[in-house]
Amino acid sequence: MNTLTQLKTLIAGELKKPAEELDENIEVGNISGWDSMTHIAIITAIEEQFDIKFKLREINNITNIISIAELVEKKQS
Amino acid sequence: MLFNSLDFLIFLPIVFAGYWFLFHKDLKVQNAFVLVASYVFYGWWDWRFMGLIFISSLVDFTVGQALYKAEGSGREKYWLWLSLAVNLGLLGFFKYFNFFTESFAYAMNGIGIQVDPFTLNIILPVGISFYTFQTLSYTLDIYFGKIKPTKDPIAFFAFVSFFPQLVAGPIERASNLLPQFQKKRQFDRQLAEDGLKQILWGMFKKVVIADNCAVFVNQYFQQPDAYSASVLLLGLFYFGIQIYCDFSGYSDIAIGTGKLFGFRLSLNFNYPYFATSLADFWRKWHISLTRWLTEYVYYTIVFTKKHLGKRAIVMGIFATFMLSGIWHGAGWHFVVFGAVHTTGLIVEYLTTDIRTKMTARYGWAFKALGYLATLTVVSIGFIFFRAENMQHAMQYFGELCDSSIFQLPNEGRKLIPFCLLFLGIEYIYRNSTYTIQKLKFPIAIRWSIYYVLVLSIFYLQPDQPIDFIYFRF
Repeated sequence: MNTLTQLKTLIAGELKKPAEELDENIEVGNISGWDSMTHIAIITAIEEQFDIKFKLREINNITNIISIAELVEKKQS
Repeated sequence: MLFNSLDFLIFLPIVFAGYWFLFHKDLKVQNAFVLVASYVFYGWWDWRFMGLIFISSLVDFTVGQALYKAEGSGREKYWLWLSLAVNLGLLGFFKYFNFFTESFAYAMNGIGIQVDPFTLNIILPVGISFYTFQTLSYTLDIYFGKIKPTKDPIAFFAFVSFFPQLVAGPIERASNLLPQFQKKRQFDRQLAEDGLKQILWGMFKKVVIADNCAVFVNQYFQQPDAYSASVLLLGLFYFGIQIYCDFSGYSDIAIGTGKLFGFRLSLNFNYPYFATSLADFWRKWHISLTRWLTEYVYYTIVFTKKHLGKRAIVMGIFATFMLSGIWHGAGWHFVVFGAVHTTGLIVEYLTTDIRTKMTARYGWAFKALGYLATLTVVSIGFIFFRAENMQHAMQYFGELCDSSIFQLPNEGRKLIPFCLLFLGIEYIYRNSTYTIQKLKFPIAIRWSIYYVLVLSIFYLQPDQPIDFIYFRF
């Protein structure tokens, strides 16, 4: 399973909706259920699953799910 | 210069003509023209205000360059602190100096140490809270690596002072507005027509609805003890309509004016009175401020303290909404306004799971309860928002807590049908950016509606023009 698919499964679990409903291209703020409170839960869950730590600056630059996938891959490499 | 004034009615076509017909060939010249027009617009209130916006712009333009050059050296944060110190220092001095000195003296006297409050006769510069946050967003976005600094001072100074949204928002992020100053704008007839319609709707909301509600609201808030609780409750309902139409009306005029010049400003209101929770309300009310505070204050606190789990979110909500309260004005009643919303949002956050379960079980009935609870908290907050001070707010609140609240109001009822009609129309068109954007009627009916709106702006406004409420922030 690639990073993007893993991320979508994880995020879908946090948002309690099917992974197929998530569009990785649209801004995270426009995804239904993704608000300032679920945002922190999602980031924390990603950090735990991929065993990485985000910097505040990196979190501030998240736009869509693809940008998160790129960030995760960059931190893992 | 007020949007609802003759001065602006003359100013706007002159700037529009100069912008598209005289200075349109060279982007820098066109931006310089916008800059001069914006300073004239702002200086119309008091020419001395121009100095402050100039200092604020100059500091952030310089800091932006220096911060970017210092990247990786560890000195970035010093430049950020400099920008924060200057901008918040100016805001603190002009807006909060007397509030802090008076509160300090009051606290000292409370513990038995006699201190006379030291106050200064300071004029509050119009819109200082708005443009300070806008210029700060530029430096913060460079610090967080979202944008690169601009080398074009004219574009930057025009971005900070852009007259449509200078004094009451939307608070634009540098990443949205600044690039629009850096590329050639083409006149787009469709966009301009859309802008004119939005201006018309905004002006109608402000002059016809908000200002007429204000007549009743002012009367009831001036002497709460002279009216029954049900009349005061009606006054609170009118204030809810007034503040919404006043502020969202201003935003519509600002966004619409931006469209006339080929700019796309951010959405600031999204039918907040149909929110089913307090968090939802703040996603729909003064969106540009909520986003600013969420991104720079809330996330900074929550992510730096995320090891604390839920407590980090509670801390984030507390800091963000208490700050939102005090941002609105220097007074304890604004602190309480912030506290009312803070408490509501924290309770809402801590009960998320149970509310989700109840919604699944009871469906629309529980949603309706959520709607009522939201409306109640928002209304209580508005008492403190509208009052002159704490004593005044408590007096209004006290008079409301009376059994006469269950009687029919014995006066001031004539606006009720109009307000309900307005809310009904807003509900029907809640998927449009603004209510009259996509009217699906034959052309003759649509134009009749526009004419009626124009005529009502001229004939249904109160005798004296009333300032936009948010100008004082």
